[in-house]
Amino acid sequence: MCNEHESGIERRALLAGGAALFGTLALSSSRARGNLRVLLAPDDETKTGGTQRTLVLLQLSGGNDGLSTVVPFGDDGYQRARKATRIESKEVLRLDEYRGLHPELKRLRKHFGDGRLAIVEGCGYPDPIRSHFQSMEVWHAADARGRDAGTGWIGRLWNSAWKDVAASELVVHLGATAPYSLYAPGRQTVTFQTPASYKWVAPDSGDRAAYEKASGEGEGKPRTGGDAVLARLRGVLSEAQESSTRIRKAASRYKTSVAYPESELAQTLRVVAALSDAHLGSRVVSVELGGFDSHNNQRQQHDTRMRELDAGLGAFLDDLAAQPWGRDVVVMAFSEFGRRVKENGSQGTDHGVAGPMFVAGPAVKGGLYGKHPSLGELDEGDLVHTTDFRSVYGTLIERWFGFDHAKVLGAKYPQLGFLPA
Amino acid sequence: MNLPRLSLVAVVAAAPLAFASSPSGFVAGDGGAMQAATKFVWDARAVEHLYNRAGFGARPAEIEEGVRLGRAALVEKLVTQRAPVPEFKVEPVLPDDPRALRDMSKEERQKVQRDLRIEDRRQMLEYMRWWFERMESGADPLQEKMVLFWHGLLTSSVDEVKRGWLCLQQNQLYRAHALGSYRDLLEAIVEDPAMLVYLDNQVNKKGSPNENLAREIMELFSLGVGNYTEDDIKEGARALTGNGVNLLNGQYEFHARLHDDGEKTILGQKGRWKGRDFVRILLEQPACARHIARRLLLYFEGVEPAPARLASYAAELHKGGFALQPFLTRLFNDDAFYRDEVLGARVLGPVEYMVGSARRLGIEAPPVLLASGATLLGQRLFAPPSVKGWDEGEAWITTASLMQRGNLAGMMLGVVKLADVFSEADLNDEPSMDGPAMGSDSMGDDPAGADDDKPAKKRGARSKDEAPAKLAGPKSGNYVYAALRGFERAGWRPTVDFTGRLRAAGAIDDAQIVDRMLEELLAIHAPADTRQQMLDFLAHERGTMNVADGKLLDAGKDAEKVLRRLAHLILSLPEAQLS
Repeated sequence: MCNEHESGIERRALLAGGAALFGTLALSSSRARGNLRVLLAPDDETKTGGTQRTLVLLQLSGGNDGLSTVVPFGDDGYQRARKATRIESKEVLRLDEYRGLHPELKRLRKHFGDGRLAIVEGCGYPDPIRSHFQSMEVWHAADARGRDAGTGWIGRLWNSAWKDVAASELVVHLGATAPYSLYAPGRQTVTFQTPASYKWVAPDSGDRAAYEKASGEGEGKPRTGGDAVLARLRGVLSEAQESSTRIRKAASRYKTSVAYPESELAQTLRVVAALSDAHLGSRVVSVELGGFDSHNNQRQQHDTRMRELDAGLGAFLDDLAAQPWGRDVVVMAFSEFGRRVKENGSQGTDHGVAGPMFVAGPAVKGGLYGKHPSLGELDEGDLVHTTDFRSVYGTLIERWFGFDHAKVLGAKYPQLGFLPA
Repeated sequence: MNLPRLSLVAVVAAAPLAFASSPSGFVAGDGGAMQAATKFVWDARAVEHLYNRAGFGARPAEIEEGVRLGRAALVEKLVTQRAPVPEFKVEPVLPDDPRALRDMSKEERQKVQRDLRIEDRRQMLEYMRWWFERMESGADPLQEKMVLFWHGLLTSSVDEVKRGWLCLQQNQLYRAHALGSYRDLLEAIVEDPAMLVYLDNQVNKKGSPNENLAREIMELFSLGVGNYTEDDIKEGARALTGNGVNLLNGQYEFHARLHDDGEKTILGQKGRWKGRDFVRILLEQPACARHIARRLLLYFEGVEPAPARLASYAAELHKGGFALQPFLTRLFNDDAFYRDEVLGARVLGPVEYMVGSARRLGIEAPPVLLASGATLLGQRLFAPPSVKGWDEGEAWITTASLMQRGNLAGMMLGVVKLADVFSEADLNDEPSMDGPAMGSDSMGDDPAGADDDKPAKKRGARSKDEAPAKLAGPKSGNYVYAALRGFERAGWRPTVDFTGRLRAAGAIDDAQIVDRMLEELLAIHAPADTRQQMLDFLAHERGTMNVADGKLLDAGKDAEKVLRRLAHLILSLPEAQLS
């Protein structure tokens, strides 16, 4: 299992470090330096940067209707406001006399019962934005300025807590384009959709040798805008070459007794499990489930999304419970906003504000956290958030990764109890 | 349907290049926003830059001609001269007698609807082929570049609209106004059937408004965030009530009964506004011209415009009634458009990469390969990931897509096999037509289709759940895969003749060959280390073949193979992603 890792290092050692060991100038880049550190490291710790803990970010894109996910069936306000999208009291999977999970979330209900699922209710932020893109940016940057903040929250964590860690697969996104949360200047996220297609096809060995050199450091300072972009693209290529073989091997070798359904989310999460199983040192792995923008015909559309979420995340949590490394993985599910309390004219709901977040895994202390937002006291028809989502981020940064959350989030936020202090 | 086009035309570009320097003497004096003291020179590099940005890259003859014409004349040609286009008439895909559907049995109705979906899909593939041919031919590059721009900005997805032919009609709208006026486009968009379905305006009714269209028009299509309030959205949505589609014929229809004709206050203006008034109010905002000018500058320059420059361009756009030709004429004649910060700093989008690579190789690649390649790289035409369109620029490049771009170039060159690049599942979300067909009973209240009972689609990702259903046959999603496999089985070989081309250009030894190939295949100038790596590759291959430097072109078939692999390598480079 370690061999893929070693082979990458050896190759790099030949390309860059080999010369570096003899004291030449090749150490000018952080990439080369990082590899040298790995090369000289006395133990496995440095390779993967200390602990093996992983955070899986599950983004529910489009604005998930929180009231249809954790349903406050015991609230008259809910019964009054929701007609076409209403989930009847007899359908919900009860958590208590006030709230219950969406009827499709059967596996997640079981994990809740087993104490592996924490639900943080009423998450949001002050002065909420109802644009998908702007609001998602706030969540990604953990900053009201969105992209103008300059980095994503994982990016800041990366550049502070793990700035010296050399693992190529430290931050991974499974999908077409990595979310802004992972963005950090000078860092390359490993991004792919399926392991099988994550490769460059070499017609012959000479081609491969030449291609591997195409990610070289180049010479001199960038003079034009194009030079600067080129330098960054070479960095991307370097990461791609480093990770391609390892990722594909990890995925093809992975064995589990858990039967993942055929849905896309489930298959993607299976790859996430494979990465953990291969101990590639991934700290953050991001995945996305889209289709939550339920302006019309919400009930049918949202039921389908819940079914897919339950099948995928449910199987993944089963797998975590069964694997020896499962305790080193937590999942955090979030969406850019909830939806309006009152329905619109087309059996759907428009963009709203607060919603629940899920944190799940064998190491998680399951249960209810935060406070369900009041359906009686609305702000212009919207729920008022009760927990700043940065409390959830902060708890994960502090208690999962052991890092000072204020350094990443710019302020202190109350810690939540879903992880032991 | 004649989609797999097997007659591939050889293009052997043998014209010698006038790359190195062409002091044609055009030195602009308008300085303008350019702070640097360097004088602007209209040379081959500048011509190529203009073709890269205003089109899909230049062929050698175009560069020569452009240098000769001079800047103003070439810009005028690109901006104002439209090439004659073979029309594509989009046919409505409707049942012969929509009313008769009601009297049919469930099975009969399902069969009618299935046939309609197949027909809809067939037409969409035909259209894609036509569009890609137009981009590839380079007959009217700026027009095609602008259609792509509007398709990404005022975007709709067939995955939600379901009826491909409405999306094609929307594309024809963008085609008609591509270089006309943005004002006309914005006015038309609030009455465009595909857009009305896509953004739920079908169900935006008096008393129960749906804000989707009003919000996205303000946020993405006209003003940009921060230039309106939530109340403006609510009032705008009221103004748009009643703008709908007659799903029996796919035509725009104003439903007076559903329109809220009360007084609204939008951006400070009070009145009993309708959809067109809403658009007029938006167009009057300075933010509107600024938003569109910024998007255009960003699209063509690839870098964020400086505030003063943006303000100047925005003011002129506004003053000129949003006419696009004067805007682009000014831009392409602006020295600042050719400044160092801009040159080579724009990352090609997937469609541009596929089309551009084919053009630079001088081959006519099958449009189905170009389209599926762009899909694999994250740009499925007619199916943007969201109403925001595609994230442009460096966001296109991921660790995966960078490698896959090279793989697709390898397919074009016949050195990489289909099975190594695509799996059948990769192509399963070609336009999904699983919604109710136009003219079915699901009208009015159910425009976007009730069958959301399928897995959510991630941006550009495949949907494995759909695989079994789509393995059914050539009518299904794997039609595209089958077409690609057909090409491969038939021995798809691009009719490119590198040996002949290089010989004709006098490029004989390794250094000459590498320089020539880099020049032809890259939009930017390759750095020295890259050049050296390509030289090493060639030397290594010659060593294996036991051929001396200067003798490679005499090695016949084997030489051509090596040169194709060299071309593949070059198009796999980070350099090949830039323009």
